Amino acid sequence: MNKLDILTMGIRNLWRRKLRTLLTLLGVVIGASAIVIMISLSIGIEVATRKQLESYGDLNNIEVWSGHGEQGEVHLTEEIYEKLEELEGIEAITPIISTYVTFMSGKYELSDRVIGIKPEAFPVLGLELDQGRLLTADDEMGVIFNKNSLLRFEKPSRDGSVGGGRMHFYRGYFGPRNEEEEEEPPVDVLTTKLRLMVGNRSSDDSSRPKIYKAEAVGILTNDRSSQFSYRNIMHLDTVKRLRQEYDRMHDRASSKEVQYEQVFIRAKNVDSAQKLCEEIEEMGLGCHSMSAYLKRMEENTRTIRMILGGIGVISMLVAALMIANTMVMSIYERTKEIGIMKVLGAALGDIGQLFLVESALIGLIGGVFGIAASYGISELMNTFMGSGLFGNQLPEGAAISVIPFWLILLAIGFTSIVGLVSGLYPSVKAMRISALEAIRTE
Amino acid sequence: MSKPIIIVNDVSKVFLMGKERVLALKRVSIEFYRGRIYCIVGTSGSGKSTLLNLLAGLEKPTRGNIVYFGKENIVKMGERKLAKFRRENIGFVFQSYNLLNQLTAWENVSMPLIFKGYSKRMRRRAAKVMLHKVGLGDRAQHLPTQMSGGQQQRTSIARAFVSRPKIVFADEPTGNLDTKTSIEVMELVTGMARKLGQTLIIVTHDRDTASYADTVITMRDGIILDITDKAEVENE
Repeated sequence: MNKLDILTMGIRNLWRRKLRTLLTLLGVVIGASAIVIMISLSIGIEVATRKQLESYGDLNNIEVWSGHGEQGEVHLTEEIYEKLEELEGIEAITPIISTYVTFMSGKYELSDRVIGIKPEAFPVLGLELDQGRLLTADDEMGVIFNKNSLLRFEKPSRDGSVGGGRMHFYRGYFGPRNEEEEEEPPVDVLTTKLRLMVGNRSSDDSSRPKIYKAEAVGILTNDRSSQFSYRNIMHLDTVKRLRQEYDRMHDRASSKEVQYEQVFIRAKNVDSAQKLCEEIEEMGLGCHSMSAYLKRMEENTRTIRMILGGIGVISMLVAALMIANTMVMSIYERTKEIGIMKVLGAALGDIGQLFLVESALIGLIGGVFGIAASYGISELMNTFMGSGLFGNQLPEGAAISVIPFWLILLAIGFTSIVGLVSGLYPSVKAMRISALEAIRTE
Repeated sequence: MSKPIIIVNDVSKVFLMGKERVLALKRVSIEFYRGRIYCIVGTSGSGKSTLLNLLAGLEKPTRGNIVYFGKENIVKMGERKLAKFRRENIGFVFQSYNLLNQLTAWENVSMPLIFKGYSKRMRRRAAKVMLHKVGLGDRAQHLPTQMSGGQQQRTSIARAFVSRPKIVFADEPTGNLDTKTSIEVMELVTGMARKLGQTLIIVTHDRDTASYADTVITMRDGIILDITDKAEVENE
C-alpha cells in the first residue's frame, strides 16, 4: 500500500466514528493543554523571578567586603585580592578604593568622593557614557564624572567653603529622574581645565594640599544601569595614592598598608557567580550577589514546577490510555474487516500501519488543538488573573503564563509520540489476528 | 498434459477440539492444472473447506506439502511471505461475500489493488471495468447494504478477478443465493475464469454447482473419494 492510501484510510476510519474520535481527541486536547499550561506557568514564575532580580542588579555581579572568618577579621588587603583574582569563573575583577577630593574647574569647585577602579575592568561594569570615553590604563589623572555630581559644581563662597545654598546632594538617588527636568551643569568639565586636590578646602589643615592637574574624560548617563552610575571614577593607582596622601594629612593609620573598601567581580555567568560567592565566603569575606537570591528562589519554585508538571503528565497519561482503549475497541469492532484485508493479501505491515496512523493522527490533531486551547487559556490567565495567582511574589504586569516556541514543538512532538506509542499494542494485536478466524466473525 | 499448477502432496490436518484430536484431512494428494475449473464437493465435515483453506495458505497443514508452480511451497512460508503470495496469485469469493460495508462497490473491488500499491486513478478505472463486466456498471457508488445478495456476490467476484490472479478460490459462492441467482453467479464466475485462462477452485455441497466444473473432486471424511474429469464423463 502506498503511504497516501494508508493516511486517507486512517482519516476515513476516524471520520466514520466521529463521536468516538471526537471524545478521544478531547482527552488528548485536555492532556496536551494541561501540560502546556502547567509548564508555561512554571516558566512564567521563573521569567518573572529573574526579571525581578535583574531589576535589583545584574545577576553576574559580585560585591566582596572584608568579613569575619574563622581566623578572625579578614581585610581586603593586596594579598587577599591576589587570591581572589585566581578564582575560577571570573570575567573581570577590580578592587575599589575611595577618597575625598575637591575638583576645580574654572571658577567652580566640587568636593566629592571619588572611587578608583582598574581601567581593565571598565568594559564589563555596564557603564553607559553620555559624553566622552572610558578610562584607559594610561589615563593616570583622567576622571569620569556622573551627572549628579556635575550639578553640584559651585562657586566657592568667600570663606572658601563649598556647598551653601543648593541641595543637590542626594538628588541622584531620590530626586525625579525625568529627562525634561534635567538641568544643565554650571560648567562643562570636558572642555574646561580641571585640577584637583585631596580633601576639602575648608579643612583646618595647616599644610596646604598639593594641587594636581586632572582631565575629565567622560560623563556617565543618568540611569541606573550600574551600581557605579552615581560615582566619580578614576584610575585605581591614582586613587590609591590620593588616599595615602589623605590619610597622612589626617594622620589616619598612615603606616598601615592600603586596604580596599570593596572588590567588584563580574562572573562569567550566573552559575559561576553562585559558586564564586560560596568560595569567597569560605575565605571569610563578605559576599553579595543577586545570583544567590536566584538560586534560593529557583529552589522555592522547583517544588511548584514539579507539582505543575506532574499534573500535566498525569492528564497526558490518561489521554494515552484513552487512545489505546479507543484503538483496542476499534480493533474488536473491525476484526472481520482486518480478516478480509488479510485474506485479500494485505501486508502485515500495512495493517499495523493503518492502526498506528489512526492513533498517531489522534495524538497529532489533539496536540495541535491542545496548543490552540493553551494559547487561549494562557491569554485569559494573563489578562484576568494578573500576578494575583502568586501574590506579591511577581512584579507588576508580569505574565503568569509564558509559552515559548520550544514548548509548542515539545507538546506536538509529545502528543504524537504518545499517540504512536498507545497505538503500538493495538496495531500489533491487529496484525496477529488470524485471517481465517477473523472472516468467520460476524 | 502440462505441469500441474498446484501439487498437494500427502497432506494431513489435525484439529484439536478440546482434548480430542479430529483428523480433518487424511494424507490427501492431488494435482491441479492451469486453466481448469475444479469443484470440490462433499457433505459438511468432509474436509473440503479445510482443503480450500490449506490451498489458499489460510491454514497450515499438520504434515505434507503444497507446492505452487513447481517451486513455491506455501507450507514453508511465513505469514509475511504468504500475504505477498496471496496478493500476487490468488483471488477469493466467499459464501457471505465479505465486502467492507463502509466502502462503495468500486472501492471494494479495488481493495486488492490498494494492497498492490496501485494509484487511485488506476484502481478506479480497473474497478469500474470489472464492475461493468459483472453487470454492475451502474452500481459503482453503491454501498454493499444498498445491493441485493446477488449483486453483492457479483461485486465480490469482480474483486476476486480485478488483479488478474492465477488462481481463484470460491467457498460456497452460491450458498446464500436463490437458484436463479445461483445460476447467474456460477455462469459469471466460470465464464470469467475461462476467458482469462485462470484456474478456478470451487468448494460446494451442491451437485448442480458441480456441473460447471471440468473436474469434480468428491470428498468424504477427510479423504478424496473420487476425481472425475468432465471429458471422461462425456466420453462414457
